[in-house]
Amino acid sequence: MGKTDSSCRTFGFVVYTLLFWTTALSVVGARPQQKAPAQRPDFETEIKPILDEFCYGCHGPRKQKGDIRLDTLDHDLVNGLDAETWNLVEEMVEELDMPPSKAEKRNPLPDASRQKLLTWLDSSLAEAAVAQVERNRTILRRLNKQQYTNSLQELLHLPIDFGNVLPDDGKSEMGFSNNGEVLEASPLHLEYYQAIARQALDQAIVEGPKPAPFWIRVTFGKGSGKGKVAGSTGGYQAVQFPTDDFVIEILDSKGQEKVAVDAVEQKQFDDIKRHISVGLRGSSQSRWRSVEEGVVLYSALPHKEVAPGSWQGPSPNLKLEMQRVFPENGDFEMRVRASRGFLLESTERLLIAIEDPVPLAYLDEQVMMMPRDAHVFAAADAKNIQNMELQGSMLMPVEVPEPSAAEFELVVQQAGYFQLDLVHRPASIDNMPSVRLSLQNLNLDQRLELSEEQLQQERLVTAVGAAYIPAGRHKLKIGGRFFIGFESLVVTPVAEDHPAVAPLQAKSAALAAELAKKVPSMRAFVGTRTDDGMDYANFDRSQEVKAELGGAQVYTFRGRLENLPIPEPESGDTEILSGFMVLGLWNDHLVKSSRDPGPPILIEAIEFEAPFHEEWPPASHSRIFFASANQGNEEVYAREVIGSFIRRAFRRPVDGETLERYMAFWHNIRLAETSFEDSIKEVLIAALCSPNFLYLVEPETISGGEGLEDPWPPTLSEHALATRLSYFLWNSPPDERLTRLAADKKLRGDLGQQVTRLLDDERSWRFVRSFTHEWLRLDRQQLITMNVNSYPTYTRFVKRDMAEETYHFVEHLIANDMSIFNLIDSDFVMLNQNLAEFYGIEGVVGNHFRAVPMPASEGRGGLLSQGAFLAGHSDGNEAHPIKRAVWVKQKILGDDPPLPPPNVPPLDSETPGFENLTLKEKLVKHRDNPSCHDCHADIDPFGVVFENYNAVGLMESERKGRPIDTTTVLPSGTPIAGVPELKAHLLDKERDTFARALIEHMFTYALGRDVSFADEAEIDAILDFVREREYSMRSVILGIVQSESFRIR
Amino acid sequence: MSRKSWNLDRRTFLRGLGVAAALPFLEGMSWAIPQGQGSAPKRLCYVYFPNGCSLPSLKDKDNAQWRWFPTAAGKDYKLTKVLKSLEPFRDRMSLLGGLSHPKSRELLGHLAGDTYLTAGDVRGDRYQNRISVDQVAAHQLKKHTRFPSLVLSVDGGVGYKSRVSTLSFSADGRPIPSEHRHRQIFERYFSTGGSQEERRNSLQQGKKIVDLVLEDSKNLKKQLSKYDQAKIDEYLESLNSVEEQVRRNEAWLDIPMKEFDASDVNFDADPRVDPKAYVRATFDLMALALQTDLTRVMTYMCGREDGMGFGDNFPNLALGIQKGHHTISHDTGAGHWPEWGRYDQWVAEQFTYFIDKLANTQDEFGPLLDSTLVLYGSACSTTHNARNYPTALLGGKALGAQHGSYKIYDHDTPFSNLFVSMLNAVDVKTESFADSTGPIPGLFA
Repeated sequence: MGKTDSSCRTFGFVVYTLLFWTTALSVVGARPQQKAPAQRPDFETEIKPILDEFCYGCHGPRKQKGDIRLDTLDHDLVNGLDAETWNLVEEMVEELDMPPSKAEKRNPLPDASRQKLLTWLDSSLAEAAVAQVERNRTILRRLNKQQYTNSLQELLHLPIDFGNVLPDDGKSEMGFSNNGEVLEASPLHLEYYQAIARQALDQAIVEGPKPAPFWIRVTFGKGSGKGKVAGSTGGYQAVQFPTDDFVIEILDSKGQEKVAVDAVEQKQFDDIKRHISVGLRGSSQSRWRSVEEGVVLYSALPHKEVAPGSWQGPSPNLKLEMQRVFPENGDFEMRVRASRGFLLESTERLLIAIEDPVPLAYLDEQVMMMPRDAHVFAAADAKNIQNMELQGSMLMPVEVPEPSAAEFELVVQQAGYFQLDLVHRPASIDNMPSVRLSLQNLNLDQRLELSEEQLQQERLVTAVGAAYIPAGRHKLKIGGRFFIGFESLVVTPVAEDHPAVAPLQAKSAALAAELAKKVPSMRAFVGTRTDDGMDYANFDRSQEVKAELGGAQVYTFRGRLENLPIPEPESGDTEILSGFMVLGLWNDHLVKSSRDPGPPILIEAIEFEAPFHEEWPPASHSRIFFASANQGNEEVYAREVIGSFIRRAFRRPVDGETLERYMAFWHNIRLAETSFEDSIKEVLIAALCSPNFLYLVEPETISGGEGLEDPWPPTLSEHALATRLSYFLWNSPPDERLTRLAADKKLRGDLGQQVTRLLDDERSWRFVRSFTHEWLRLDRQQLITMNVNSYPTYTRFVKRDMAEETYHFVEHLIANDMSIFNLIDSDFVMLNQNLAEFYGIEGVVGNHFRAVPMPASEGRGGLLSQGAFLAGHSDGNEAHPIKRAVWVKQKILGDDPPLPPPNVPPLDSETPGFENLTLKEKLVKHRDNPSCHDCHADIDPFGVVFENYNAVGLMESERKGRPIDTTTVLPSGTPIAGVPELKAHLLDKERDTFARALIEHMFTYALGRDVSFADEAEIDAILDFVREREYSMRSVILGIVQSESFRIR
Repeated sequence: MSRKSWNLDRRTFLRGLGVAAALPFLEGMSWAIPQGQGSAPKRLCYVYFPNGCSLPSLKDKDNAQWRWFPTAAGKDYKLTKVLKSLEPFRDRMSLLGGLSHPKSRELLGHLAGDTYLTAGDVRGDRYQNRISVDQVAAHQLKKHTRFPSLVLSVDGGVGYKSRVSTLSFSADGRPIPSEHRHRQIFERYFSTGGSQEERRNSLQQGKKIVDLVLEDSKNLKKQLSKYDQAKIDEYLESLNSVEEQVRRNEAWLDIPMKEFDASDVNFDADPRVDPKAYVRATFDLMALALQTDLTRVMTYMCGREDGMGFGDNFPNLALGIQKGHHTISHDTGAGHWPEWGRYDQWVAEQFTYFIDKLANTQDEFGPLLDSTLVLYGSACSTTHNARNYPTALLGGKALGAQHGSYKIYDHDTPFSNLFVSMLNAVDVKTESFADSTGPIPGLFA
């Protein structure tokens, strides 16, 4: 029986191969060919003795070097489970890596024996590969989390993150979470699937007329809210927007302000308004201002990522705080009326430190000399003295750490610039000698650093500031904590072009001009107030605000409440600080320094409408309950509705038996349910719990439609092929076009065009993100906790944009069908302003990612220089050459280095001077250890070259005070220095190695199974195909789709 | 206004359609449970108090008696005035020092309350909490009882992120609303009337869906290759266990509650008037729930962090200290240690009431305390210091607990190690929980 079976298969295989060569011209792939029965040496008599003499010593009962033991391997490669290991043995022996050089010296393996061994391995493996191919098929795949979410979204037309509550999916050895073998369905999954389906359909199917939205408008303007009702939210670190400066309107479903019909309704409206406040918690007071026209927001300054401040959001952020007056589900719109803003400070309001302070007054032999028009204020004449006493002519603080103050009245005849010089005693920096000047509500704090020479003097004069002072009487205060004390303060008018103030003037004008060239933008967020800040998430995209001051426009942001961290449902007990949803925005032209205002925005009004329905009933409802002539006949209509839904849900035609089963279920339910809609809902819930929906089903024994009855091996049905293709390139179900092609059995003949169409579709982003994320292990960069004190510029926005850089890079290569070698090195980089500024690249304006031409000298081209890789493979404090090296080996060279053996001796921190060693030096120490040397000699060079990129991927030339050394010697013996030479080496010597690694990873992703030795022939064929097409990105994708494994089996 | 949110509404979910199974599960379909069946139940209780504890220096002779922790380590430890009420239970109690959650050590102490039973990571830009240990246990132990767990607190609800009012978090790291109104708790969980019909209907619905899907799956299986059939078998197996659960849930509906006497529960205690009666009423209900084997997992958050909720005023109501609990915890003025210590002592006395009750209430297997592990503690030691959690573990003699000493662990020891040991003690076989590095040594035989 078994024999018949196998001959039948062989027959089928031959038939199939013929078919393959004759009909599929553009098809890629070759199946492992069964070689003519070779002169295979006998294992027991010919092979075992060789292994015994040359291998078992290290890989046998006593030792298992590299965790490999050969004497227990099954030498029946076809039926045994060890073919993969034998495949490794073949590679090692063929490449002369084994036996190792040391053993070779002692007892060399004769060429004849090596040849015999290889012959045996080669022929056994070839036979095994043929057998393996039968087993080597895609295993039934459950939808993973993302696919489940995408599928439900497409099916129900609801943009909800359905799968977020599901447990995380396991990853295959190669790192992919769409592997059929690994994906399991636990009872917990099933519980969730049902609960999710119920809640999803509750949302999709609506009843009655369009619900009235919760719709409010908050209009800003200094003084506009006087006497009007509004809320105010205090608490820890509150930065409250004055209730006098905004007006809340409650709008009806047409967007008109609701007018209360009576006192009762008025009270209701007021009550809602009292639960709406405006706050800027987490915002620096100097970065926003309430003005007549609205609120001016400077560019947001990202906050430091340390709890609790890490929850404050960037500064400033303006938000509506709504307590228990918001809906909890549905789409919503936030509409912001805004324009460019203006600078709050001008040179007319100025108190600043002088950049190169040269006092205008000076002491000549202890006699003070000063310009003729200077005012001199002697300490002895000061008024309102706090915490100071006169010591001779000096006014000195009593309790030094406490605030001191002394006040003078200054009368200015003509407005202008003045320099302020202080006559004081010297004090060393240890005493933290400080000066605070206050004028017109402006404060200037400075710490004085005096030279050794100055410290020797009895008294000295220091220029402590410059100010623009309008004509009139002014109070000038001096003092502060750790005040140095003083004898007199000299105030001297200076010309506008005086060196002390001229740069300021110029700077201020230049700043305004500079800012005019920049474009502010807005990013919106929704979240929950927490005690120390907020838990928030952004929604929709960042939008540039190009409207000029005075010509405000409305910018609309759309989101879905369920996807955002809105407050948890409460128990009904009202607490002062719970149940607060925040809805806000910041100026997304992010800046790096608190001195940089960025291009300001003026916010005039914010509207919030939720739920927002463009049409009623929504698409989610009308796609299920579509218009039909049979709507009057419940029975017939139910059959239409259910049939249409399960066909879409199951992604293929449904046989009569199945439909009848669902209809019977409906009949049964209809008796109990009060409404037709509810009875249908139960049926649809059941459909969404069926394995027909939850698994990518590829039924057997369905004719492939290529003129063969029941071909063997069975051919993938056209519908299953459509599903494979769309989950490969969209990570979501097939659309109508694909479904129709499959139904007409025309898909297999149209794969080339369909691949192009799918890749050109917006949905291909899902493929790019999902594949890139898992292939390149971008999760590492997202998960690593970077030391914020060492890397203050690595903000959450840089972190986010680094991953975006890599996604956009891969997307750009696919969209433009560029060469895959761009992944190694490219003459462009995908950047937005934020990330460009982080990398120190100028001239990139705006938040969108675009290709920026980049000379090779900048060292930023290709994956190998991208932050997502470099920062993801650090330890949060320092670059990590081993992690980087292993990544390069795995992802670029397709070579999985062995795991470190157990009991690895740690780097010996007792070594004298260990603290000061660079990592490279530590590695050398590590490699001195004989048990580590072998593996590390193969790994380390691929990490050492990255040494001049620090933990966050920025280039540096020295570390720990010493120049960085990126020179190394590759395992092949080639000396190289730094990343440019590594890239050059890869592009010169490892083109096919890299292409192969890329093909293997994508093949794995496309089929949802890891590759094995039995796939080698097919991968080789795809590689040929790709090579012929000049290694273009799309040829890799097309090559995989056209391969037999994908297309047929 | 609709209170439904996408993130699954846990109440619907738990009580929902059978499959979700808040309801119970009967061993081997024998309806005789809970009486006289099998072996003794194994259960877990977690009791939390907020704002840390009084911890004057040992050298501070005047105040050393107000330290929460005892004065000497090992078997010969001496309880201070704070935990004096627990003295009779020395042989059934361990005091544990030095423990904390590594990811919460740098947090402001109040925020550490959010991670007390989860060991979640709320340091970064997003609130990444995770499932709490009681829910891990509940997920497995629910098959023995009517309800998976009771989640209780002084204030009810979830509070808000960073200042929660619940100790329990679901599998996706979301807070599970706690309950605090005694009468409602009693009616919801201890009475068999009320929403019976509603439950029965929803179970029926769930059963029908499972039946249909089962048929669908079997039909599909026929069309698949043998490799894929194995995969569908895995799905069918899970479906079977869901189906079994639905049937067990249904069966519970007809089983009468075990007899109990609730006559001494004060259902009307007002937290604004009589905190002692209020807290004790919760402990009474907890003891009743164990006695009737209603559930085997309970959490009780005995007050909110940071001056919130009813609990902040307890020192004033109970002891006449004219300060809130949170203020006391920050106070550095003269006499602040005795004030804090006295309040800690008061809280401990209420807790002792619970322990005493468990020790003196029997089910058919013996005193409840012997089959229950009770964890008592807080997520700060002194003011805002989220290390060296004050921790007492009581009961569980029948579960192999080795009591009688004050153990001081290395300050790097993850608090989760204790969770791992406790889970294993109640047969929830677990190698690790969150960032644990192994079981805690020396507590269990």
